[in-house]
Amino acid sequence: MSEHAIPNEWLALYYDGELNETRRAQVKAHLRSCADCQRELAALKALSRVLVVDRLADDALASRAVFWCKLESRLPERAEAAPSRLKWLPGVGLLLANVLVQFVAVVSVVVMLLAGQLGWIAQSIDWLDRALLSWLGGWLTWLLPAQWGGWGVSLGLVILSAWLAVLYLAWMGWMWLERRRPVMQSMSVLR
Amino acid sequence: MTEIVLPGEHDDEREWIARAQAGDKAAYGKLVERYQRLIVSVAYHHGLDLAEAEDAAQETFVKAWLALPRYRESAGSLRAWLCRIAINTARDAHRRERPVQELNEYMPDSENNPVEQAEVKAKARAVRRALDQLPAASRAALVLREYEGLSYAEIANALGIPQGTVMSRLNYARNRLRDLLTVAGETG
Repeated sequence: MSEHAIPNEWLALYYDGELNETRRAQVKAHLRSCADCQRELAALKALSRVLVVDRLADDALASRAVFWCKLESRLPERAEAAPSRLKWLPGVGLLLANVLVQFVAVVSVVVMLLAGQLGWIAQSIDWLDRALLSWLGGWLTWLLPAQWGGWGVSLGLVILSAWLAVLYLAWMGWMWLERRRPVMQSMSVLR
Repeated sequence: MTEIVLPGEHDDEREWIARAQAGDKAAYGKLVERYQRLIVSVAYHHGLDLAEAEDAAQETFVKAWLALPRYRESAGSLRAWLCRIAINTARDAHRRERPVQELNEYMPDSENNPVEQAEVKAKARAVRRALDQLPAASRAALVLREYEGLSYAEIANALGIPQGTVMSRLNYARNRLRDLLTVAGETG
């Protein structure tokens, strides 16, 4: 069969209707001239015809009503699982917090640039330092050199934002695992 | 003829699944009605007699009912998912029950004369014996393709194997069956 114009496995795929139109046409054309493949195809058809004799007859089956009556009594009640909306709260909260931090960072940069142009930089940095550092709990004063001033605060906001993003990603990962769990559990039923 | 349910052919199936997942037994009944024949047939072709196959089908539908809330369409069609449960259930039942399948008594009663009927039954018996001699993995692929009309993708999904493996198992099963049945004088 190695000299054939089509790969050997295509014939079974053709018979099973698994080839696309182009390949189907190729096999059809090849079949017209290849006695070996014609024989092989005939053998596949013959096998299916033989297998048909072991097909279950419809009238051999229990009636659908009887089957269902028997089955229904075996089905345990299943309480409807109320979808929990609370599980979305942490993610939404983290996202909003991050948006807020980004907003504050942008506003602070704009304020500093404006203040720099108008010559108010010293006062605005003092104001931002006080406002933002108190809002952030003052922990940034440990971290950042004093001479960095307002830009240091902006860096702090970036760090905070990155933290929130990490937490958000962790939450996304947890949610993904939660969604995968049913699939994994059903795999245990299916083995 | 086996009913072949194509994806999208029954748009109401999605609704039935959703309702059954929420605990609606009537909706599940619709699904059972649709797939009862398929599941009994899958169990039957895994070495069980009709009564055992119907018991296995009942067990399959109970398992499926319990697992249904965790079923996701993205993991494959319901038909393939049910077949997978049915195959495992039938294999377990087959291990528990007698190992050798006796005469197939469930052939359609043809209107042919008794001689022809006996001939058909003898052929069915030979097919059954030959199927029983196939390795379980190859037999499962062959049964799902030849008797239930599943596509390669669905068989792959039902058996949890790649489509390439489906192809090779089918190829092996067909060649082996041909050999077995040729020896038995059923094909030429």
